[in-house]
Amino acid sequence: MDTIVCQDLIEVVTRWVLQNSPDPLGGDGLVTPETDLLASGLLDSVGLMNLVAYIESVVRCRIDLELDVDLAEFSTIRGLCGHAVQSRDGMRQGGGHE
Amino acid sequence: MNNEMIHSYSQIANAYESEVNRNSCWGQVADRFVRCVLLEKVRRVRGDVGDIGCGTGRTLFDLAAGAKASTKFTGVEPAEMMRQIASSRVQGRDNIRIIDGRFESLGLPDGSFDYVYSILAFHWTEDPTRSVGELRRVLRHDGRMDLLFTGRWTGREFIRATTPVYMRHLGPALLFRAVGLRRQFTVPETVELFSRAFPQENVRVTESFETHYDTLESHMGWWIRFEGQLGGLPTDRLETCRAEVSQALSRLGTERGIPYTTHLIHVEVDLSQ
Repeated sequence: MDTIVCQDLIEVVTRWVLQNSPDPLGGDGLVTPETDLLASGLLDSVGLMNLVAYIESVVRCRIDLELDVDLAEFSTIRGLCGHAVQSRDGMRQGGGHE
Repeated sequence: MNNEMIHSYSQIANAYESEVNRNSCWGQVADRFVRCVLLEKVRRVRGDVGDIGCGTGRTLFDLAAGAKASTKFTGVEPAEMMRQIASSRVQGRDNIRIIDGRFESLGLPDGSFDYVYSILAFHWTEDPTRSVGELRRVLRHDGRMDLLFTGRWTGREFIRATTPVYMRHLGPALLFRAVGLRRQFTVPETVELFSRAFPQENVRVTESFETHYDTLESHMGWWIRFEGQLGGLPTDRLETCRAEVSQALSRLGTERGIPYTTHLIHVEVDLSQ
């Protein structure tokens, strides 16, 4: 799972969102990597928090929430996955432990 | 409940006594629970009754008034100002006492109560497993208990409308911290939690959903309680945030008013069976 690439991660995360959303067919019924998970009602704040924890478990790396976070991206699957991969890669380059 | 939330609730203790709060959806939920569940059970108790998270002591006082003279009541409340109001309310009533404590640490001897109840407080516990262990410890071997608290899906309309606002103002780190202060129980999790401390056959868990319609002003009257969870937001930012939250909620308006759906979990334990 360490070698997971962003596209694979996006697919895994999209499945998680559909399985855990209280309203998976809400909004326009379409979940794309760019869908705003909060504004569409797919996830609420608790759901987003759980999603972050899930992504952390998949990439085996803590997502740094204090870092310069683009809030618009933080509520999309693509943005979150990108942020997670960046966090993981940054940790590797910095010699951190997974 | 963590110290920050205890302080926050202590600061708004006087607002708890207000008519707005008592008439709010939460006031109605609490009143109905008292009328439909607690009144009759408390009347039948011979011995000791505990109200955990008794707040300003209004329910405790009213229930004690209708109970047997020999029944002793203990209200446990961590927020100092709430406790002060409760203590003033019960002054002169020898069968009621108010003490400092919280679910995680009730500060009472083993087997203190024949009956324990709690209204809209357990979702603030910091450590559910320890809290349920404490409840088991203070309940007598044939005791009974009724807890009512909010579940995972409470206020879904409001949360959906306001999360983007809070995300903008707080950022993910503070937002997740705020969200994490309140436990988000589901029925399966609750059953599992209480069945670890009590025999499963003595535990009954039910849930209910109800949509309340009210005016923006009335909803905002109690919604500001949530601001206690927003520690770290500067006052000027808080004002802007509050205005945006108000706008977001007003957009939910229907002919009947602004809807708010409560998700309530009721845990009944009966060890006398």
